Amino acid sequence: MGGPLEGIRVVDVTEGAQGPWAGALLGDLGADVIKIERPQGEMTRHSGAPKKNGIPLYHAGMNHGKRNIVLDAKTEEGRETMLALVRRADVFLENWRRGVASRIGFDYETLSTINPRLIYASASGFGEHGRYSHKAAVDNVSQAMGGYVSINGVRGGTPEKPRFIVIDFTSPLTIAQAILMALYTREDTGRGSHVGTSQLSTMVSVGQVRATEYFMRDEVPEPWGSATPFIVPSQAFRTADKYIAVECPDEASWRALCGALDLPALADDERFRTNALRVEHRDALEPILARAFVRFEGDRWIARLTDAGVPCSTFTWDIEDLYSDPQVVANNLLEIHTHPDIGWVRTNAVPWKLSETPAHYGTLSGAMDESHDSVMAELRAEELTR
Amino acid sequence: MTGALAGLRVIDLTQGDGAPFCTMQLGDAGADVIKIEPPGGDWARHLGPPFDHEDGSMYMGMNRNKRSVVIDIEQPEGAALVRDLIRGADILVHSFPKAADAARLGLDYATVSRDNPGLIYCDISTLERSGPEADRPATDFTLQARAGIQRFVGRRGEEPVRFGSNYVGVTASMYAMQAILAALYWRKKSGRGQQVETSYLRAILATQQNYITSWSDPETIDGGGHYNNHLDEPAYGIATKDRAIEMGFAYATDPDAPQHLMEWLGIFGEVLADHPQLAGRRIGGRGDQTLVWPYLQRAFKERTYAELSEKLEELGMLFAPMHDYQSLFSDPGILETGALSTVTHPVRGVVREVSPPWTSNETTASVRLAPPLLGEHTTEVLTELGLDAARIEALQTSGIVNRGAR
Repeated sequence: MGGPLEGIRVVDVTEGAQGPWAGALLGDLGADVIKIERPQGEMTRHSGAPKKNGIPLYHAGMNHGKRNIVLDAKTEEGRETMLALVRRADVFLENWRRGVASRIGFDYETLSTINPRLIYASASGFGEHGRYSHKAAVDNVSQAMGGYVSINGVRGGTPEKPRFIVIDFTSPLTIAQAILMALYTREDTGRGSHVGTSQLSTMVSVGQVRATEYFMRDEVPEPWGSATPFIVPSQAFRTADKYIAVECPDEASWRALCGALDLPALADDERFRTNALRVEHRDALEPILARAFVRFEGDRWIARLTDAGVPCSTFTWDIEDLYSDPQVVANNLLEIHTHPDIGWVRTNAVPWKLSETPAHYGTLSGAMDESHDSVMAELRAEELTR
Repeated sequence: MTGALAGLRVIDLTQGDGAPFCTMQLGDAGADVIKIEPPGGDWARHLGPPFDHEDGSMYMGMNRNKRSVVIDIEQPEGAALVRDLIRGADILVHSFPKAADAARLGLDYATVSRDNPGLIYCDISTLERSGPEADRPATDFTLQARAGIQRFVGRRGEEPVRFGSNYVGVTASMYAMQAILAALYWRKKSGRGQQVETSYLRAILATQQNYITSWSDPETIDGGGHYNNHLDEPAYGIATKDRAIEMGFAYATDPDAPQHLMEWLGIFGEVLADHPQLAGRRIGGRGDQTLVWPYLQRAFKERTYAELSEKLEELGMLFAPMHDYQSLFSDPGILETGALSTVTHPVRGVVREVSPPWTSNETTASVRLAPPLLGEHTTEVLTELGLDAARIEALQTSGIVNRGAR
């Protein structure tokens, strides 16, 4: 059985993460994705990230499930081939700086004339309109612009930027959503469309709960360390040997925690009866909990709290430890894939399970232009090019 | 224009710190989302302060564009009522805490799809539905810890620092919405529904794919590069007289931007005197940036964000203000993008909302309904289902439904 997008053709001219990961997801869902790469190689070929057998692994994973062809939009031949691919495509995915598409003649107006059923997807930094639209974006810049940095860091301290590509793994999700909606709509209208998302709009959405906190009380939401302003307890506690994460999002888990900590009186303490009261009296409560947790080692607490039904976890500090996580193992959430030029690589599993149209993690992306012959042969067979 | 999903009905049985984001997105795209809540309400309603008419910020941030109906699904008559609603629905989404809950309530895929084969049935779990710990209670925060994303914030060995929003839950919900959309597309082709699933754990692993692929075989990795950023010191951007700036040397349109910036700041001579190896060549790249950073930090402190941003803009450097949510929503450049929406609710008044992230020239995405009060739409939805006032009254009296306080 193929994926739900079997038969859909995607032309992906994107670089970095926002576009490439979206294209990869469409491929995992069954679409035939052709990535067009410029002759210089896209940015993630040169990022300095780890390589295996000379192939950058970031690129290999970010662009899995795609056929790769190198074309130069600046040459007549390259343009012609690109246009031939657009003519037979369902989706065109771009994340150029704003203005580039029309300068090189690959804007929505031009391409939709050639192919009125085309869904033209623009993954931008800061949208199509407004004074920031021309600005290029990378992950750290978008995190800052979108307010996301302001909510991370030690309690009451200077906001700290996650050293993680927070937006590079969420902005692809919204552009993929926009494309899927457009495909669904096209089934009724018969027309293509121009859809878009930006790193900015996605970043603000990802932080929506904290933005809402600002809307509700007109105070600047701040970093809270391991804790959060609106749930108590919900933080890291130091045990005899390490920190553990504990959260009581409801009254049942709160009472269970009091029992597991051998502090039954706490469960009946009026100051701590509801989450709202625990937040109000957190300065009184947190030291009591902190004193209780240091008595035993972390793993002992995890076993005890888990038996009692309290959400908790140790912290995973080494990615290798995820490989043996019992839920990861039992559900095959990591896979091993091989590529003739790369060798074996560990990857995530596809992020969805679909009962009738299963998704599959596609082939890793290897060297530039590795699918040149297969793509050109198809175009010739369809008499779309010489 | 209407929303892409206008005309579709969603039965939403999600609660908590992530999954309701998925059904909110379906509502943003135009679907009619009926949020079924237990008599005590979605547990996220209690997560605050701040509270708006007893509803906390966690709830308020993920439940607009929905109608709230209180039905006690733990009572057989309540579950039957939900099955009646599902019969007329296109999509069902749930996030039941335990793997067996759906079948226990008669709300599993096999049961509810019997009368509605076109139904798209979406299950969002935290730790997947099978495996030794499938029923272990977990939340966004405990999944952050378990999946290891605290590696990227704070300082190793000190108290962990959490991602300041429900990042895992939101990511899983965005993936869940994709699965639903893909299934909707396939339904157009095949006429058939299906069951789709994701989990917080599955999603946050996909969200670390580059680390997983890059670290998969440390023995044979060549090149290396800067991939140990989980071991780095915390990163704060650069402080100025007022608002801090986030920036980097990479991707500037002027390839000599770093040098020109230092010349403009009047620190280039000092930098060269201290680091003669930088003389006579183009400055850029991560190593140079690390070397030069302390000088920029000292110089930026003497200037305002406005002065500095004008120069960085001129040099074509990639930078942004380190916005907090107050400065973000007062920045005219941000407001021009349409990032802020407002909606009026009869009790809550004017509610500010983050706008949906998508644009399209064929469909709309908008905020039509503020987050509902508990049970605000019970009567309305049950009436649409064909129940008369006497029947609703009887259900209310027996505690199977609740029409809410207002």
